[in-house]
Amino acid sequence: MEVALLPLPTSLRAKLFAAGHFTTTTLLFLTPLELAREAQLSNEEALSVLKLVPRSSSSSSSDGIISASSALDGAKTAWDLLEYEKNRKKIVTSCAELDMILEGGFCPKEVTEICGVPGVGKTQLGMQLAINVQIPVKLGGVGGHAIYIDTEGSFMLERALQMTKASIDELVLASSLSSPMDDDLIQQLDIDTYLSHIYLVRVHDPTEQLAVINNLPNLLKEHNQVKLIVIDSITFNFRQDFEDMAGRTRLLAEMGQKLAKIAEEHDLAIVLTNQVTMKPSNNEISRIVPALGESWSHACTNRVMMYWIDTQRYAHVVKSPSLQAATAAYDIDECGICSAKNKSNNKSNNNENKSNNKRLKLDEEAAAADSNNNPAHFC
Amino acid sequence: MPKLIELGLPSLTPEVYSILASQGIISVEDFMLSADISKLEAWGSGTLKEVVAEILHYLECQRVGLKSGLRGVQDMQAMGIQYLPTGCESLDAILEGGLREGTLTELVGASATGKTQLCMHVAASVAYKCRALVAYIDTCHSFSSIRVAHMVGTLMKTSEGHQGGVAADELGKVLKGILKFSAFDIYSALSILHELHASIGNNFQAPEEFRHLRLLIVDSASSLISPILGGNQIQGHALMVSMGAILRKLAIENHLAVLITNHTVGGEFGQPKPALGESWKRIPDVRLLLTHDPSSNACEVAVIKHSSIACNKQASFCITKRGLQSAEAEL
Repeated sequence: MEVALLPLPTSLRAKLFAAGHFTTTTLLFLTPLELAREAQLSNEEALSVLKLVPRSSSSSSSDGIISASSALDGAKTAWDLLEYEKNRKKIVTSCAELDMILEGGFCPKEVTEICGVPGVGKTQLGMQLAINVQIPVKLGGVGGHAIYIDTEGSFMLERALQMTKASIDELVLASSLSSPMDDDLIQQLDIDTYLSHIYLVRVHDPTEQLAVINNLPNLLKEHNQVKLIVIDSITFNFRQDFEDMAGRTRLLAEMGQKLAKIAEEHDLAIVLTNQVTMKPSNNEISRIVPALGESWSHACTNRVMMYWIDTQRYAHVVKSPSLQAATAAYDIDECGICSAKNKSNNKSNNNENKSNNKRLKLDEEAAAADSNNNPAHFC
Repeated sequence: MPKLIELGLPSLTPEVYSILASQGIISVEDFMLSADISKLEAWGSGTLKEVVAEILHYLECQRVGLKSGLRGVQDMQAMGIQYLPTGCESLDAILEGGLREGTLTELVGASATGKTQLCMHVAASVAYKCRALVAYIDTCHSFSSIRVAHMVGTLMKTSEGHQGGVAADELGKVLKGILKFSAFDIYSALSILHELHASIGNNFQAPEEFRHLRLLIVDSASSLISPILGGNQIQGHALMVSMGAILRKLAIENHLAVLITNHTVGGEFGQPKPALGESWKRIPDVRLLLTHDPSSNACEVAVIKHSSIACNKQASFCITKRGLQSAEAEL
């Protein structure tokens, strides 16, 4: 293997080249001290270089057994994965139809993107998930904590409180029907506990956003209970003040890889929200497509598009390796995300909804950037 | 280049080696580049002369000889180069049987056009029909074993009726023959590829009959490369080229069928074209362009580059709950 293929900073690489080390074979037999002297590195640098050199490339071929530190150790057979995938718990959305098209909810280890026009309920769904991830294991939930990275300033604490209350009330009602609650469970089903397990991070510019994402592994070491990371939205900071579009694509692709890695290594679900943009097509009918371009659309595992038809909200699975393309209707009420109500049954509500929706539609026309701190984000 | 001492030549004793080292000759490269071998011979004793001659002879033997076309064909037949079925009849038909061993096939398509579905289907089909080990390098956690299990189940049903218990056994065996690696940056992907290359022929943890690795899938290759490509740095370009090189090496030297995926970028007149640019273009032997029609749920595959068959052929398949079905089979 060539030295150029090792993940080294440019300065170190240049020093190794200057000392005549172009392939890793010449590094194999050196001690850190020798290398440090030869290439004029510090001892620590030399050690870190030698740690990167694949040892097994020469030894494994002779003894026939793949050595312990081999990169091939990460392999899993599809059979092992099947066992895992069958037993994993998903984060429910509180809307039965939505859970059905997602086959149970949002999956751990996967990056899911929610796209939609402003006001359709992306932030609401993000907040709902941050609450639902905390449903105790005893009640069939995931029982984890959530990190909420807020880039638009749209996380409303009052709203979170309201939704938490509703969610806990529902859980208490459901569990008290089946069996008496023990103290443990009562303690878990507490509004303060719930809210203290949502770790809120507010970022203001793309640099901050990248820094927070780079620092996530450290944050997760401290809070190893975290089972969900919501980033609302991934787009906001990257849609303004960017002149180098190729550079933006690169940064985004790198960020996507990092998120995928975090999701896999820490066994947690990552949910991103994304804005939408108009794309002119050949036959002059513009389509609404997710923002950030074509390259970014490969970064996430699943993609759910949320949209309006008249006064009804719908979610559609656009992209997924395992789910069918399917659509579900959902609503948002004071309790959070819920199943679509049959409009004919409650006509009195209907009119009210309509007027709310009108207001929201007006909001849509305002630019996405204005959506900051707008409490009218839910009905 | 390896060090001289690694060649394991009997006459290269530590004493001789230290003499050579004192002249600054440590690796084979140093030896070949040193202009004054004759001076060295004259300077040293008789034994040194023999050593130099032996090293030169050794290096001569390493040279690759010429091969006639006839010999090449014979070698190919002896190796039994085969086409690995993709499991999708319409696609197999235009590819004359499937993915050819020893070639690198690239699937190009926009997001949600069925690239990953096709990759998983090929993995299921090759593991089931060819009883071969499949290495699957997943870079965006899009490998779904439940989906693969469905696909294997469908393949088993269409080929012959297995009994319940046997089918479960068989499913387990086939799924154990698919080995998934996760790589989230190009460095880890490169080290996996290099180690695969070094350890082929070794025992993988797989059922007995699946020991032979015949297919390597990288889904998606472009998401590894796109973060490092472009800008002022040339390092990213170097990494991309060496990624292409090791993939080709695995295909040619180990007779693997290699399947990779690539995304599209907007080209001239808004027409989508494969990403990663001109210098990646020469890496794959076969390029297939996937497009998806949302109204009919049909995926079109077009051959846009092929080293041995005519291009511009098209096939289509549908992605259904049970797997991939070619359009003809549906009718």
